[in-house]
Amino acid sequence: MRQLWWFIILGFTVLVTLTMSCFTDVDNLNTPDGLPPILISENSPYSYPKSALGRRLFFDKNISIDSTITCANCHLPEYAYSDTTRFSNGVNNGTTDRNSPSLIYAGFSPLINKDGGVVKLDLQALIPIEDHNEMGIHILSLAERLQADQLYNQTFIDAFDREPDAFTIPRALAHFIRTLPTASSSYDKFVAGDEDAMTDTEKKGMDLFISDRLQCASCHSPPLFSTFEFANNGIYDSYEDLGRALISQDSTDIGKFRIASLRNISLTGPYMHDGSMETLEEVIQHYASGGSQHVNKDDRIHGFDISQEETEELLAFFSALTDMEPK
Amino acid sequence: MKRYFALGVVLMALIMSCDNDEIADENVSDISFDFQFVTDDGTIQLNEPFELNGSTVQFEVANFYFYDLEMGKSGSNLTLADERTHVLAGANLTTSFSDLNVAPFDLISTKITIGVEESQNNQSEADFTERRSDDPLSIKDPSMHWNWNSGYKFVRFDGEVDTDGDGVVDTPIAYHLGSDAMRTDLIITQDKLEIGEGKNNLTMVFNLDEFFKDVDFQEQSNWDTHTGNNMPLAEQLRDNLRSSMSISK
Repeated sequence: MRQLWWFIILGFTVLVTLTMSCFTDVDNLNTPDGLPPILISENSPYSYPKSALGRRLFFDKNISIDSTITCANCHLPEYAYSDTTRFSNGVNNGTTDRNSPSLIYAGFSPLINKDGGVVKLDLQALIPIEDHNEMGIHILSLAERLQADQLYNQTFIDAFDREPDAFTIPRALAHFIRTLPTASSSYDKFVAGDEDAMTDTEKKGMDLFISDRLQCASCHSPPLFSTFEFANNGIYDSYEDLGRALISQDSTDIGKFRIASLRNISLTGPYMHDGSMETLEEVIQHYASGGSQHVNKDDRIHGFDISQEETEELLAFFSALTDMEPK
Repeated sequence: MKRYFALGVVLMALIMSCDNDEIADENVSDISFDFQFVTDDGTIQLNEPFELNGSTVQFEVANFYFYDLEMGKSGSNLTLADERTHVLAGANLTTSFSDLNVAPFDLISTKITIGVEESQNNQSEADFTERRSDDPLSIKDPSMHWNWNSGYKFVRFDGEVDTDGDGVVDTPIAYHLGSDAMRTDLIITQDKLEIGEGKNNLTMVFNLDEFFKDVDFQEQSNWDTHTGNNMPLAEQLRDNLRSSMSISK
């Protein structure tokens, strides 16, 4: 009889554990191995229905004023959720002021946007939605539009327990973006113990990347390949776009932009905050030259010698940072 | 005897209640504000062109936030809005403070702070997307929140200017002041203004000649400020605020 009780208790425990794990898979945001936790606001916990709703919004033209533009116009999945042009086009032939960034690892950034003006991912979508050069629609008008759509309205209620509004729309999109990281690159597999995941050339490039001579990793630190600091990387003597100084109103921040993650960097050109460098070779040459003499230029940019062979090794390493199982 | 006693009690109660009404009626019960935008030539209307600093301009949006509203009277001050109570001011908007129940007084000065109080001027966990629609700090259309920056536009003027002399206002102009550096305490003084019993309606007058003093609308550098991108102009407008406001009845 005692054995039977133990059997029942054990069976019940296994059942509860299995049930819990099923829910965990769906409603918990699983950060890929090797990466820090994805940042989530306390007032909007993650759930699968929220991110699924965000995915639908992301690819829906109806979130732009004239129903012509989706988020994916500037953030294409095949380019690591960035695009291939220097600036992107929005409604009414508008053009963005900065280069479209990759969104895949945005969920790890403490401050959002290249100047850090947005304090959390949950609010970021308000910018492209309301920007006259992107979606061009006021968030309250978009909320009304989505409320009028019976299916959208019900889906929002199911996911958030409230209708589409200024709170739920950007949060749905943020939760979708939080699901994008996969950490499935050759580099990730190598770090996880698969020594054959990277080629010898890629490994040489990695050694260069972390070397004292190049010091790339001092700003682009693994595992996210960014410290998310704001730095002036000396691409100009004078900055038309003031960068972080627009937010801080501090002249010592002029020309500072958030250090970009190098994950998927081979897919996300052109480069720099304004897409002013077409190729990664140009970027390497820029850092090798030591950059401009701008007063705010970061001390870590000091120039270095690099051969053509080493440049190719570095480029090979950058390719090894491309996710192999993108979402 | 009991009947006379009861009648006396009822009469007494009636007399007492009349006294109370008299006291209440004699007090200031409500003070409301409307907002007027003027030039030295008169009141301006939104969406209608007018002359300003030698240029033809037109505004579609003219809004600002204030809080910490205190009315100065002899003896003591009357606080209508504390640091948690914000007012969104603009053409066609009004705000009321009711159930004041203070004795009539002569208003000699008004103190306000233009902007949004520091602890609420952010997009932390309790951000503007969570606020009820009747909250002055909730999302408005036209927007009074930044979306690319954390916090509110304390002052927002949007419109157009005629820059080629053809009489058509077609060059966009935008003046958005926000962030801690733009928060401004104002003390508006005037001749004694009688605040009488019952309801009082006051007008907060915003003088555009003063606000845009020394701003040449023909200069491209004066066509917009979103604060951080054109700090000299933002600081100039912020400083001009101090002489731009008056209160009338």
